[in-house]
Formats: sequence, structure tokens, C-alpha cells
Amino acid sequence: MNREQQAVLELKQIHKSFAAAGGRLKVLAGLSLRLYHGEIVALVGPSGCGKTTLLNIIAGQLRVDRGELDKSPELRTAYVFQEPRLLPWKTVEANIALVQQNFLTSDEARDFRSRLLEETGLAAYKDAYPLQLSGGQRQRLELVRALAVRPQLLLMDEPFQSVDLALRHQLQKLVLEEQTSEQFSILLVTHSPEEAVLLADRVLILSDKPAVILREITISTPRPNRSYKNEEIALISEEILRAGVGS
Amino acid sequence: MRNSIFTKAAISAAGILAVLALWQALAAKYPPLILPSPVETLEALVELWQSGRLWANSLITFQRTLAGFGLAFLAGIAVALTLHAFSFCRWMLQPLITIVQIIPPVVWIILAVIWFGVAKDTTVIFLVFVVTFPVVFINVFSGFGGIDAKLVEMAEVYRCSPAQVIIHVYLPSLLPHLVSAASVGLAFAWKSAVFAEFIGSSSGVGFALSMAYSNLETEKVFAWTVILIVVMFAFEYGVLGAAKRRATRWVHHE
Repeated sequence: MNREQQAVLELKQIHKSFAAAGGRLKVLAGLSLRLYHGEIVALVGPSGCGKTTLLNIIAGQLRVDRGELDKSPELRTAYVFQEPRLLPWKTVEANIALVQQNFLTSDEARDFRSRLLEETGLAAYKDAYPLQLSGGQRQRLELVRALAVRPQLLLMDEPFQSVDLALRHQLQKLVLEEQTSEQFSILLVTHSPEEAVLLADRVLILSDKPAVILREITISTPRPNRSYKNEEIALISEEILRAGVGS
Repeated sequence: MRNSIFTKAAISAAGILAVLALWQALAAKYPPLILPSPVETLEALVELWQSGRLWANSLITFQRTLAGFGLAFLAGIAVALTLHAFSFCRWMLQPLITIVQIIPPVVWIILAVIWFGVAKDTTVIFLVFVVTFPVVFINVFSGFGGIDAKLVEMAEVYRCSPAQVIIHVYLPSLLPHLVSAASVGLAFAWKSAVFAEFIGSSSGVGFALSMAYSNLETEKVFAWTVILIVVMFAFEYGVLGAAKRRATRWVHHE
């Protein structure tokens, strides 16, 4: 795998702070990371350590105070927000179609979203409005919308936090299938050591804020063999837990 | 659900009938000059209808109301948008709008007559505008505050253009506020149009009211009042009711 030439994203010495009572709150302090083409990287770390801030910087929603963000302006980025951000006045299908129209032809968009809605069990709800959906269905729609633009970079902020276990596994499987066939890169923020070791090629453990990367773990076990019976997976999970992540 | 709607309608109808009965009972005790009966009011209505004055005056008032309110609606949206976008305008203009709202309508109508004269449409339209503009502005401006910044961010991440953000995020968020501005504003608009015509015009429902008053035709005062009530009801429950349901379809849709 000749990854060195294919970084889709590089952050160099990123600093970010916010105005807070009695001065400024430093959130990121010289954080650097590189994400390669077709790679899945999990970001884990204590609550409130700046992981969401990092995703928002990459998504272009926040400016850095200092440091450099290397990312092609053409890089097609999708974002699965922690709380679904759906337009309540648009139907399930219209929510997806709206963002697709900026990237895909209308035929391609229609076929692809039909398939995704079918696979996630939302096809029957395509004319429903978000307020009529359950929390889990909204989370699914949030994910479907992100996948539906055929992203090159998928940002996910604790995407499966509020869905039940069975659905979580189903959605994780869907993401892996899509990622395998389309070879996009994923940056995943998660609180779950299990999710991190199940999905990621690399796990980055962040410190408490101001955040820097404490440790970087590359997972060599192929995904189908990843279970706690596997020695590497068990060790990595423990290490993530020790870093005070699973809360 | 169906039942409860009918029940509510029946109770409302009963209430109106009770008031009519009370009105009839009281009217039997007083001369028509003080309190004309429902029947006398109806006769006056028929007479106004047959003479053609009902439609002629109603139409004039209707046109003036819509002209004044239409201008206020557009100006209210434009000013709310400007104040939302530029905070220095907010600090400068917001106190002024409050002052416009505080000044009693009677002061405005005196000024309007002085500035524009009696018998001019402008006088009436001006008063309608001045009274309803703050109502529209306040509703729409508060609507801007209710726009969910997270949805705007989402749209931007997916590269929606400013036009797409306005059409798909801003407008649907504002729509309930626009409808409510129209609803409250139009009620004020009617009342102020009639008031302006009463004092400073020689046509329209307000002028007809002032003529009935001068000629001691109390039954016509009642007849015109009934017309105003019917028109406002038709607007509120017909046009605006439909608009309200349309604006919030996604909340109630089942």
C-alpha cells in the first residue's frame, strides 16, 4: 500500500482556542495528523477534549488560530453529525436529494439514494417528515444522507451513539461495505473502544484539552478477524480504555 | 378527533346564538336608536347591499388595507433582513421602530390628514402602513433569531450555495413567522383602515360608519360592524388558515 503519496488530508500543528469566561479556552494545542486515501482513522479521547472541534475545522466550519490545514477544496466531504441535522420541513427523500444535487446527476442521485434507503430499511418512510421518525431512524437518515453524496472524506462524530446495539452493528456494516467499494477515507470520533477497534485502520488517542495526540496505534489484524478473542484487538481495546476514553 | 372538532364547532355556534338571543332580548327594551335588534340590523344590511354601497365601500377599504399592509409586509421583511445582517443598523433602528409603535394611531392619523389631506387614499394607506409595519417587523425579526445555525452549517458542509441556504433553510424557518405576521398584521390593518377612513376620508367603510353616526342610523353602524366581522373571519380562517396549515405541514403531517 503506497500511502505516502496519497494523503487526502493533513493537519500541521493546529492551534485553536475559544473565548471563555476569564480568558481563552485552549482546545487544540499543536495537533498534527495525516489521513490517507481509503483509510479509516478513529479519534478517541476524553469527553470535551476537542474532537468535535477538530472535525469542524476539517469540515471548514471553524478557522484555526495557528497551523496549517492541507485539504483540496475539491475534496467531497460528508459529515455525520452527532445529533442528526435534518431539515424538518423536507421529507426523508428530499433531505437526501437536496445535498446530492450539488454533487451527482439527478439519475445517479435517485438510484443511489433508493438503494441506500432500501438497505437501511427507510424506503417505506421516504415521504415521511423527520419529526415522524424515531430517533434511530433519524440517525440512519443522517448516515444515508452522508453516504448518498459519494464522499471522498466522511467525517463521523459519534454517529451510532444513540442507536441500539443491533442497529449499530447493521450501520457499521453498511459503512464498511460502502467504504470498501468506494474507497473513501473516514475520520471517526467515537467513545467506544469496541467501535474503534472494529472499524479503524489506525486509532489516535487524544489527550485531555488542550488536545494533542498521545498515542497512535495501527491495527494489523484484518477486519473479519477482529474480536476480543484476538490478542491484538484485546490489547488495543485495553489500551484505549486505559486512556480514559470509555465513559 | 373528528368528534371533538364538531363538538367545538357546536359549542362556538351555541355561544354566538346565546349572544344573539341576549341582543334580541335587550333590543326589545330599548329604542332602535340606542340598540337596533338583529332583525333591524339585517334589514339595514339588505338595504346597503341593494343600494350597492356595501360592495363599493367594502372594496375601497379592502384595497386600501391591502395596499398599506402589502407595503408594510415588504418593508418589514426588508428591514428585518437588514437588521439581522448588520448589527450597527440594529442598534440604530430598533429604538426608532419601538417609538413608531408607541405613538398612538390617533396621532398618526392627525399627522396624515395634515400631510396628505382628507379624501386621499394616501392618508388611509399611510396609517395602515405605520400601524402594521412594526407588527410585521417584530414577527419576522424574531423569526431570524429562530433559524437553527446548525442546519445552516450542515447545508454549508454539503456545499449549498447562499441561494440554496436561503430557499431551503431560511425561508421554511421564517414561513410560520411570516404567516403569523400576516395574521396579526392584517387584523390591525383592517381596524386602522376603518379608523383612518372614519376621520380622514370621504369613502370606504369607515366613512360610511361616520355618515351613519352623523345621521343617527344606529342600525347601519351595526350592519357595517357585521360586515367587518365577516370579512376578518373569512380572512383569518379561510386564507390565513390555509397558509398556516401549509407553512407547518411538516409538524402535523401524519
